[in-house]
Amino acid sequence: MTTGHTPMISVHALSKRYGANVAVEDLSLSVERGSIFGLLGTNGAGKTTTFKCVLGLAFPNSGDVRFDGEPLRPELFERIAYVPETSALYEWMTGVDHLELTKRSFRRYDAARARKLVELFAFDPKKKVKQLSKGQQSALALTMAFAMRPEILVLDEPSSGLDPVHQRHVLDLMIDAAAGGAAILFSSHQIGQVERAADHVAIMHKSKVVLQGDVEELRAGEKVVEATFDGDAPSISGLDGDPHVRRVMRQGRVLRAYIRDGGNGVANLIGQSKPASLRVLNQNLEDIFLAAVGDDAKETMATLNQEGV
Amino acid sequence: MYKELLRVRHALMWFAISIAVAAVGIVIINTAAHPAHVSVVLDHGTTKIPKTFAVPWVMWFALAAWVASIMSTILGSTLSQENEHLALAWTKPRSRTAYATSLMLIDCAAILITQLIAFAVIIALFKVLSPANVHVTGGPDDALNVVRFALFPLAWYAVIVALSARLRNRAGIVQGLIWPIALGLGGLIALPAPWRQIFGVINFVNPILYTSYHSGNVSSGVVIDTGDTLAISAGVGALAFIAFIVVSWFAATYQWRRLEA
Repeated sequence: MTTGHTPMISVHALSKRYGANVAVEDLSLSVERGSIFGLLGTNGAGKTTTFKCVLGLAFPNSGDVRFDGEPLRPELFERIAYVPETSALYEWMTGVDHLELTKRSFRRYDAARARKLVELFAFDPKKKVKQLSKGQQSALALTMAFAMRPEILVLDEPSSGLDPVHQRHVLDLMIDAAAGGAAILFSSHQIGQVERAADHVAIMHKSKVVLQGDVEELRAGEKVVEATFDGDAPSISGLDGDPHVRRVMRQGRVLRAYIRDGGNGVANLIGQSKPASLRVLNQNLEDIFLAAVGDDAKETMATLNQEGV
Repeated sequence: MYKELLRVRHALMWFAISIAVAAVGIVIINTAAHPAHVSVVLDHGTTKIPKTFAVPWVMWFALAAWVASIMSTILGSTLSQENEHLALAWTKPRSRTAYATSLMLIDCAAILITQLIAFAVIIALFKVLSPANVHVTGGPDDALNVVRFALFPLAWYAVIVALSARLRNRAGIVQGLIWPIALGLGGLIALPAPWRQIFGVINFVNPILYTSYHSGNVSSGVVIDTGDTLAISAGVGALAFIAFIVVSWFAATYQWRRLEA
């Protein structure tokens, strides 16, 4: 039964294995009507597999997925639009053919909106897909998705290959759709985009959700004390063991301490090591993401620093 | 369905062009060669003696079936090709079974159209090229044979779909190998005993076996001579093709709907 409190997308304890390889482990999330849920993660974290399992394109080993309280059945796709990470378009068909295909497949298809979206993304729909750039193919897939005015959108890296202007259009379309009551589940490597559009995020790492919640609450929950030293950031006695410090990251000359509260005390402690600069910042989503994925991110950043990238 | 309609339209267009070119070529070659006459050297010179023979019209329909089976081979990759587009195909408000069935029904319609076009072209060529002493006759079990030869390209198609349904980008292996394997297996029946019996049994799963057609001293020329012991009647052939279609449809759909994108 559908009620006002039933999430539009509800995933409970979803797990997926490929042989001995665990792709998704015990993932749960829910996306409410009018909400944008961002799924962040490192490469291979399991985001795409999650989307596939959610939409029945891959068979989960366990777990339960519901759309507006109902298990997935083909008829529900009248209300769901999916844009996959890699193009699933038919290369030998034109954009016009694909739009016609969408029109014939979905009763909700809005031809006038499709025309506007084609203008917005500025691609030639008369060209065959194989003649379109990767970004234009993404634009066509997004046009097909948004032209049917779906109630549920599942977008896997929807901005992939798009230029910054069209990336912004995608964000605007998502925000507009959510304002109209749609539930959106999307992934992106561009944390800034997620931060701008999403009201909820889940961070996946090594097949698991390591952190999820309301973006504003996550950002408000922690602060970052960031210190820059003249040489390599030193080890500061007592910092790692400080109960206010959730974790410490050292990247070359920069030291960041992620703290739950008591920021001034930690700042004073770091200040005793005479950094060149010291500031206390609100966390952004990138900080939250890096802190959540932990040592891997630290190692990645350290490698990048060593390579002078 | 719209995608498959486009695909089929494209295939039919190329088929029509190909058969038109082939027909014109045959007319040109035959006009030059006059094959309906046999030269016999007699003591007093060279005389042309016309051959007189009757051709069962079902044989032309059988020949059209073989032409249509080329289209069956081309379209047989339908589910395999779809495997690169499952994220699109499987997020429509239709069940996978209904989706796969609609693709296959459209292809089957195209194959039947191909066969009818081929039959019409063959009859037209026959009318244009055959001399007056060659005449068309009916044969035994004409109606059953029409059913049988209408079903053969569909059965051939269904088998290819079933064999390639799980493959991604590799349907060409099935499309390329099925002909030499089927014809080769059929040819092995000509081996002496006990191989003849062994390959006779194996060939019961070879659709080509069931295309055998004889009428009097005329055979379609594209059939496998299965001999007396493996003679296939029109009715048995039709039933066999129905069985191929049904089993292959289930096998193809079952495999395909269990894939993962």
